[in-house]
Amino acid sequence: MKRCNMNVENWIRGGVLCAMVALVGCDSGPVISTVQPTESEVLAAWVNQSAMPSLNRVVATAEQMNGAIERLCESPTSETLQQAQSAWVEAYLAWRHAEPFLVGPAAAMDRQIGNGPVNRIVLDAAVDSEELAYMLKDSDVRGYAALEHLLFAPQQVAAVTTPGRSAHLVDLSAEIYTLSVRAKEQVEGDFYRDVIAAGNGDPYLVPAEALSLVFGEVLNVTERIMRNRIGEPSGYFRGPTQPLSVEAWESGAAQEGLRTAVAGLRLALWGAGEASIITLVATKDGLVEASNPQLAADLVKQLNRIQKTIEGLGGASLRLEVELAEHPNTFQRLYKQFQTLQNQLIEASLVLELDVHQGLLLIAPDAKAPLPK
Amino acid sequence: MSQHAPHKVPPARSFLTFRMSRSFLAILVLSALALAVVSHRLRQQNDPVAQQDARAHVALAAVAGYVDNAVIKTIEMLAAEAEQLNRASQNLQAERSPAHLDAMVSAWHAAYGIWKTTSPYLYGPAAQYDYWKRLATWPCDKVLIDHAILQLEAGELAVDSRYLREEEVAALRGFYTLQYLLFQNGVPRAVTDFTAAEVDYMVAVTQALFEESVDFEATWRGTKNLSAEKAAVLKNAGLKPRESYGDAFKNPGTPGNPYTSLSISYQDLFQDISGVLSDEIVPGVAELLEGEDRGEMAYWDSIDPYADLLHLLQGVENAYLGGTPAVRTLGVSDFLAEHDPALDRLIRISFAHAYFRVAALRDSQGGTPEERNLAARIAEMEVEKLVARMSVAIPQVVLDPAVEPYAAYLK
Repeated sequence: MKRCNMNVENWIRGGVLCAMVALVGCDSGPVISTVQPTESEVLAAWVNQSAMPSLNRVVATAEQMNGAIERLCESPTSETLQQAQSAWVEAYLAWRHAEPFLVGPAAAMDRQIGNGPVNRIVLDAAVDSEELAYMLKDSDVRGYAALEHLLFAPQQVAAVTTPGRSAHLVDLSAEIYTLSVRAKEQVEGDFYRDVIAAGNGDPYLVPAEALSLVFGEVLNVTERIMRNRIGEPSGYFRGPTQPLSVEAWESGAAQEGLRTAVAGLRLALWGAGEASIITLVATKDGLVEASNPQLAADLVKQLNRIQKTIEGLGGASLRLEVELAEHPNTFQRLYKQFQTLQNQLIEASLVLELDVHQGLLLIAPDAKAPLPK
Repeated sequence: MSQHAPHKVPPARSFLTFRMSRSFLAILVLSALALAVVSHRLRQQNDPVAQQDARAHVALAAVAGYVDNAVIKTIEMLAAEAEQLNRASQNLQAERSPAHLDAMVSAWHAAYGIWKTTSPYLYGPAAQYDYWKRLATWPCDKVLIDHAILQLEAGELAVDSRYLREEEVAALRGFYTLQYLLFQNGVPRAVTDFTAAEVDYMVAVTQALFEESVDFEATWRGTKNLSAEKAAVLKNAGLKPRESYGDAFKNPGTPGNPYTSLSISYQDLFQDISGVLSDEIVPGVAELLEGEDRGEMAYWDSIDPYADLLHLLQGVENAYLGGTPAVRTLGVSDFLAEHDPALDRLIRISFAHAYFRVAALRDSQGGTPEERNLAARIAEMEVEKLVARMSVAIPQVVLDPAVEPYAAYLK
């Protein structure tokens, strides 16, 4: 009997040990460089390896989309419609990926073309009515979301390319392309140079000032994803789920949009590997706060966790709006995962001793102004 | 028949008579207790009344920490440094040597530095009894001081600490009078330049400074709470006993107490923190570079404006953290952290950055004008940021329901 007990005990011990080994083996954690980059190196990498390529892709895909939509309107066939739809998906994903990099002059572009959700009732009415045409200037019938509705909602190519819809399609795609090009020109003109040179006083007095701007936008993107893209549709805050307010559901790109947005966040935080925000968190001691390698590793793990949840969204059809109606908890779990990420990011901003609070900056007088002579 | 005794069948073991039952029961009881404690804590954490009580407890302890470890400790240090300064002046009086002059100059710097760290506490007794005038009237009356010294030299006037204290003109004594006599063009005078009357005058000034510093301490601590030595200093100087202002400040709401609530205590506390930040440190940083550009001596006739700014910052930080670096328990910082730990950390970070950047500005002397300008702008930005963060903290603290009422009720 005793021997029998011993055996059982050994089995249990062995089992626990195996489970621990398995757990350790599965979750060895990301490998983060222990070499501390300077803030200036991180900013240079952010510009050259992350922000600039992302914005280039926004411009290139917007140009392709603009061309495809012109072709569709000139020659409306199911083939040109499919090409325009594919081009929209590419452009939309490029923009979602680039969101964390749309700071400085590029932020204005984001405000103009990134509005969602689209007001479908007004849009459908206004494109076919001269009396209501003035409403097509409103921000809730413009941008990527409005284009998606115009391109994907009607079943037939003829319905997509009625005179009123065609005119608005061309207008919107041209606007997105023009604003993208302008934003690229502006950021490449001064902004990127200023960010890389942050610390020379023109205008950034210390590198941390520019890094705060970059970091703040990562937090803003996280907040927008939580509030607009997950919270509202999932009924996280109040009320029932709203599957039709899932962004990009009409094109079926909702899941890919979320996945791409997280890829953009990952690029902004860890894109350049050694010279990255996450490496700074792991290695840089501030005047008060100590470096926090555990937090850096947790950030990477949380991004992975979110990515995994998103990969599992939508079922076989990848239709998030269908799944949301049937399983709202999955979306709400995703919301909580983003909340954890946001808390980790706020902690990281403190570890890096950054100033990401727009409200506090507004209270402080313009410290960038030179001292009076 | 078997020779063996019949096999005794053990009585059926009930659950409670199982061999492990006692330890199992103990575990069960302990678990239940632990569960009760945890659920009580959880209920407390979610109970707004309990939360407010907990915050009120921290708020009260933080005010006590502020009074005992920041205000009184700093003024106590001021009295100690003033005594050292007085001793150094007596040594110089006994022997006018370069070493004794150096010692007195060092003692003046040390005492003046501590005086600067008292800046956030120049309300209450300091305002009521004019300690900021009695200890450091600026500017001093150079003409009258010269005249008094000439009279002293001619034997027409006897100057001692009581004369200086009881003379209506505070501009004849204090730190800036000593600065005027010890320094010329920003550097210490040569020991050979001092007349005996000047040194005698400085001994009287430092004696008055010491006595009035002890008096300042007595107002916060209460004369009955002073050491026997300090009580004797006041008695010999003919200074009246003082009630403890600190007791009133940290025990608001007691009968006859002008502090009707903790909120009123916090409002006074923050008023001077804000005042020092906005009215002294921010313009001080700006004036540093302006003064240099004009080729003038640094602001406010200061011997070491960087040290002054750093001491001011240190004083505000002590007030916020609730004590001098050597003695800290709970402070406003801890109370704010109950609401907004991130803001508290940001304020601590801001103090460190402001301190670092003002020191960097000092160290950039000798750099190009562009480098100096950039260093000054960075220092200015950091102190502005500190002011902004502190401004956000104030309403969170003084308007917390745990410290109400926010204003004295009408009588």
